[in-house]
Amino acid sequence: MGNRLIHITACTVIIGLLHQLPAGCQEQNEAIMEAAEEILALSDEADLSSLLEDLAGLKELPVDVNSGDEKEISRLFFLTEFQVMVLADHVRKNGSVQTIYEIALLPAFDRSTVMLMAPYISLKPAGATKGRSYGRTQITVTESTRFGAACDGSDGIRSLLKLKHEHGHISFGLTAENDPGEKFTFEKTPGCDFISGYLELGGRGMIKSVIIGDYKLRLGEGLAFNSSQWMGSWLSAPSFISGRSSASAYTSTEENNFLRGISLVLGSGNWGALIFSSLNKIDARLVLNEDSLATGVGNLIGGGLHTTEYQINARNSLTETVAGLHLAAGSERFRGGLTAAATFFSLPFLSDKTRPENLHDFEGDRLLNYSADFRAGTGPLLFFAEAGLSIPGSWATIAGIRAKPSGRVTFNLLARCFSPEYHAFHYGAYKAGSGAGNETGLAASLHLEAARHLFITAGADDYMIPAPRYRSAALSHGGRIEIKCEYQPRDDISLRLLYTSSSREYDIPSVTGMASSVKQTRYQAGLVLDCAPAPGFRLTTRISGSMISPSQERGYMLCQDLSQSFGKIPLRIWFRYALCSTGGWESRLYAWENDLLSSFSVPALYGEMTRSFIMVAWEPTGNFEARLKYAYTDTPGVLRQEVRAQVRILLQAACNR
Amino acid sequence: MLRWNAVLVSVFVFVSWLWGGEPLYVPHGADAIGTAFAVTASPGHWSCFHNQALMTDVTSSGVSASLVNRFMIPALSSKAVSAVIVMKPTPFGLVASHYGNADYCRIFTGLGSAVRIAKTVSLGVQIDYISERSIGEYRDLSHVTFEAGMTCLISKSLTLGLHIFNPVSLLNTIPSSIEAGLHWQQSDDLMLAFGSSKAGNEPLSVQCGLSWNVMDRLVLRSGYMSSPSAFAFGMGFRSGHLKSDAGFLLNGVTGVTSSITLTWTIK
Repeated sequence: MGNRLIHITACTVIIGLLHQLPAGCQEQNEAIMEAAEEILALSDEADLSSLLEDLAGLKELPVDVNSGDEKEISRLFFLTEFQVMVLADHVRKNGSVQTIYEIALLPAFDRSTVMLMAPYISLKPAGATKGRSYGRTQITVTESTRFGAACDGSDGIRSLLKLKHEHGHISFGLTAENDPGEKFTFEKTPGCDFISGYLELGGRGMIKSVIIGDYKLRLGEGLAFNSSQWMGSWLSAPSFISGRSSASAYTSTEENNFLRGISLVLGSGNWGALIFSSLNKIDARLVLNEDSLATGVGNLIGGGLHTTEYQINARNSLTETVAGLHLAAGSERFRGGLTAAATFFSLPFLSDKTRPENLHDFEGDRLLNYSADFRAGTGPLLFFAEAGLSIPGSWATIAGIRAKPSGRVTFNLLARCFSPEYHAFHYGAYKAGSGAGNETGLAASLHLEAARHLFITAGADDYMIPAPRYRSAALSHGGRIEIKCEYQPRDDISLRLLYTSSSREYDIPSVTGMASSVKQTRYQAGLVLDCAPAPGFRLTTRISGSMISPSQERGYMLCQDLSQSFGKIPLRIWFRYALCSTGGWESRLYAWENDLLSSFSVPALYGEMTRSFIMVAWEPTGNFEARLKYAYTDTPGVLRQEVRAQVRILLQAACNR
Repeated sequence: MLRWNAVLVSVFVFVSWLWGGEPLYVPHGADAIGTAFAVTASPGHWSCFHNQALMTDVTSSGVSASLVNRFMIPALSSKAVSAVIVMKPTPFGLVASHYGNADYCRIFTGLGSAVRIAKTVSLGVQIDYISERSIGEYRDLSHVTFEAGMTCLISKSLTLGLHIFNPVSLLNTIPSSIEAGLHWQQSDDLMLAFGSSKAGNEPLSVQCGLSWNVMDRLVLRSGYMSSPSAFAFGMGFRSGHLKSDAGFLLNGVTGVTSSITLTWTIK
């Protein structure tokens, strides 16, 4: 209690005394934050770390839209090929973009897409930096620790080093990470627990780019490869279309879902080819025989935490070798692609077929993936589709429409059918459930500017899971509805109302016989008021409530954010105080927090809980930034505290001729 | 404007929560199905039988035939014919439908009319005769009831519609239902509709629909209704005085309901 009073008093005094500059309570895109919270609330298995780190990376180094360079603009990975092309073309023909609203008027763009882009772009005039450049180097060092009564082994120090250098057509980067509790050792696996690096060479002729080291792929709609998985099951996304097909350097700290080897992008005009190969060691649960020798793999393990004996044994226990090819060709209004890839594992997958949910699991040590995709149309109507085949296994297909019948309305529709036997290990298509297969569904969304300053987004998703899965031994159904209203009369004030209902069938536990099912529905509603009563000072108030049917478990959360920038002192402060009361884990509520650079924090609040944090950023020069965050979570009888510190150094050298 | 919007939303929500009942009339019109039945305030030939007050917006007489194949099961299909006759001082509407099979069938007939009571407000009413026939020891039943609707032109492009079916359910044991809807003509080519309906102990159903004239003669439609959860798709094609529509409802559990409609407009 004493800590809370000190924080509140300190913030109030500082705010009252000093000059202020514009600031936002949330550094990231509000829509993505809310989507992440919803997706996490719906699934315990959702892993958004890669996406959130990618966005954090964009925030640190915004995309220079006015460069007119397609490659630079395509760093906004959620834009489609057509959108990238239109925006680059617009800049080349008409000069620099002055405001984000100008982009919203371009064909294939709408307000929701532009609002998604807004935090991650820079509109500085083209050619602002003249002279010979010696490149740009960014080094970020982060240390964080938690202390308190942790029961999940998350106590300890987390260390993260990120280094990135860009100079002309050459760039390279290094990511090194030790999760809390992981040792920095010089023995069997020397150095950090996770090290990732890349060297990227950009070409000018036929060879467009070469990446040696760690990279990620996004091909077609993601049936075979999409490490970014930016939209996952985000129902109110501006579009259901996956971003532009690409190979890009991997900079995330997610330790398994990437490729390690070489990728080569060739292309000229309207055709292109991507050749890739990878050899990577990933975490897996080993199946041991009587002599304790590994005979196979039970399942893959995510998370990247290696502190317990089980996790250490699983670490890098499976070697995945991938080789493939993607061919693309088309014109302005049509673009198609073909993908073929072969995956080999050092140990075969052996699943326990006595359990119904494992009946259609992948078995064996080799997998072939083929897919064909196309996108057609421009401006008001865009079709997209991809069909995939896995051997062994079966097929999957996804198709949709994005229509913009008027300037104020955007309509998205997506149909998907993944057979239970479809397998892919780097898939990333729109899907409500986990796993690559076993889902048939239809999703639609409508983005509407209902009146001046009033924006409504509504989406619905109905799906069927034809084969047994975890907690459901028979065919089951699910659905989701999302409605969001945003009223923004001025730039410095906005009011958002959110409603989500999500339902899914689960088995009722029974001792004998066939289990009957129950439809479990989660309702969630929220209100967010965001305002800036004074320059540099911003307040965000949030009220959220959830209810689970039929158990009638309920929960609510009250959350107050405050941020402050100071004019003469290069200091910025964020503060949050959140109160939560829920009947249990099912009715938990998530609240996105501002965090250190290249990091994210979306803690789950459940039970009787208060959580608060204060974060200070000091940026004396454009090349140096230090952040310090202190957070605590207070549950009855347990106080967990967390301290995180970060230093970012940006080296950028240029001389005028 | 914001105040007006708040009042409208309040009315919309309040009306939606009134008591209703299971409707006896199988809704027809492939164009209505294509927008998930969010047609309580939307003009159209078959919309006149979802809200009789909409007859005042009809400018030409017309006749139509419609077939609904529920869940692709012929025994659950329903056939209907209707006519809207534009006369002075009030238009008239006639509808007759047949639902069922040799063992059980339900014939629904209705005669309705509407009147414009103010520049922006119309009222409509329809007298219904419902006949149920069964084989064996079950006795045949006949009912007489009525339904009424109202439309209110809120602005040049925004219409509010209200409709109630059989408000005297306590007297005749036929369940009642109530619907409210908004129709927004967003542009010449784009129409958006929102609606909600409550029937019996069924959960409140919220619907939204979109109709887009992609070409002069071709209309694409889509919609969603929350209970039962179903996506709707449809298309319409006009050639001279003849208009043909097709609509589909997709439900994850019950499957596909399809519908086709032919409408002849008499100039």
